[in-house]
Amino acid sequence: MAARKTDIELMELHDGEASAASGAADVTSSEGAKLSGLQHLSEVVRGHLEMRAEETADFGADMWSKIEARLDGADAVRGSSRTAIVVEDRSALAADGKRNRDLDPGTSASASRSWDVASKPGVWGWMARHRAHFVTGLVSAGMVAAVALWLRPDPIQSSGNAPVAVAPVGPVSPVGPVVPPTLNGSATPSPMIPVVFKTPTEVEALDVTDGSGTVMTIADDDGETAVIWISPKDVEGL
Amino acid sequence: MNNSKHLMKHTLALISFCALAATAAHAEAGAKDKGAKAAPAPTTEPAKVEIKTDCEFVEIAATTTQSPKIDVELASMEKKLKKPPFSSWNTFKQLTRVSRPLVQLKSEAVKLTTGSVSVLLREVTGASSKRARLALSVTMDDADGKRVMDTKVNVDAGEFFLIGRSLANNEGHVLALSCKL
Repeated sequence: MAARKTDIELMELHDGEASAASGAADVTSSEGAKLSGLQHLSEVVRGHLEMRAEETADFGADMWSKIEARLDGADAVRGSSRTAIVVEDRSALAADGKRNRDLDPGTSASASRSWDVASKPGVWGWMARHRAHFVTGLVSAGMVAAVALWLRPDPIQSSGNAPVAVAPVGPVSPVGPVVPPTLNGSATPSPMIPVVFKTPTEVEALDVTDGSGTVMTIADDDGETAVIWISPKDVEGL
Repeated sequence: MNNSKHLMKHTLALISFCALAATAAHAEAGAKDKGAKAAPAPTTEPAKVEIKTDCEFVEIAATTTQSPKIDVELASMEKKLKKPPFSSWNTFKQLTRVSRPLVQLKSEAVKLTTGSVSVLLREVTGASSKRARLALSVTMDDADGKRVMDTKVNVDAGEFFLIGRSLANNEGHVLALSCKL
């Protein structure tokens, strides 16, 4: 009578690891039922794994389409920063239960906000989608303005002429004789005298031989008059 | 696809910028050429305008007498002659009244009753304005030909200034000088 086989030996027999000659011939009914159960269990596990594999393949195809859509959207809305792409490693997730995080969460958040604005219809959305072109145009216009200002000729130096007075346009009345101003409509001219501001006389240098010199001013109704007074050394009677 | 469109738009913007810059530079070069053609040939030196002035020399003798008197010809400066330092004397007599044209940077010597005076018009500023300013150099010699004084004065055209000195025997010698354009 053959000895009873252990579960390990039955699993090895089911997996084909044990030689058929050593055990398959003398399998009891209970051991045959266990082998049958193992076969059913193998089929169930295999079927489950195949289903998960199909789900994973669908997830991969969907992930690449999502990544492509985000790349196109980021091109439309970003300035210079590229959104960090989030790729979840599900095997690692399964291994240690942790999620991989974004490489740059702040950039991702701002880009996603820009994407939100750019995705909106209307003027703001259009401007957000084309803001890179606006920036390029503004920078170009600023540089052109700077170049134009830099190359602008100096109006005084280039012409070399002083500003010219322009005669008024319109009918020109004939010039009559110059009438002196009168006071309150009287026939006699007014005694008004045009005021001319005088500049005081200035003595730049004074060199007196054998004496001393003094510069002074005499003020009266006619204004101030400069006086250069010379006092010789050898004057008698002073 | 979108990237290529994006690059193409940026390239167009840059090309337009370059075209604008080139247009500005071309316009500037054209303006310079036009200015160079329109401008007359540079002259070596601007033509000098000879400035002439007319100077009046009034020589006055000051003394002290029992009967104060100021010559009628000196009526225009009578008020000034009654103030210090001329108030030391009470009689003023006109000795010489000479009017001489004065050309810029040409010295003009005038013989006086007592000595002589020489005037040089150094510069005229504001000649086109109502009140031109004259820069004069004045030297005065006594009767012996000895230099009494040398001065540089800036005075308005038409204004006169006085040069006075004490002589021996309590006499005074006054020169009033005025130049106008």
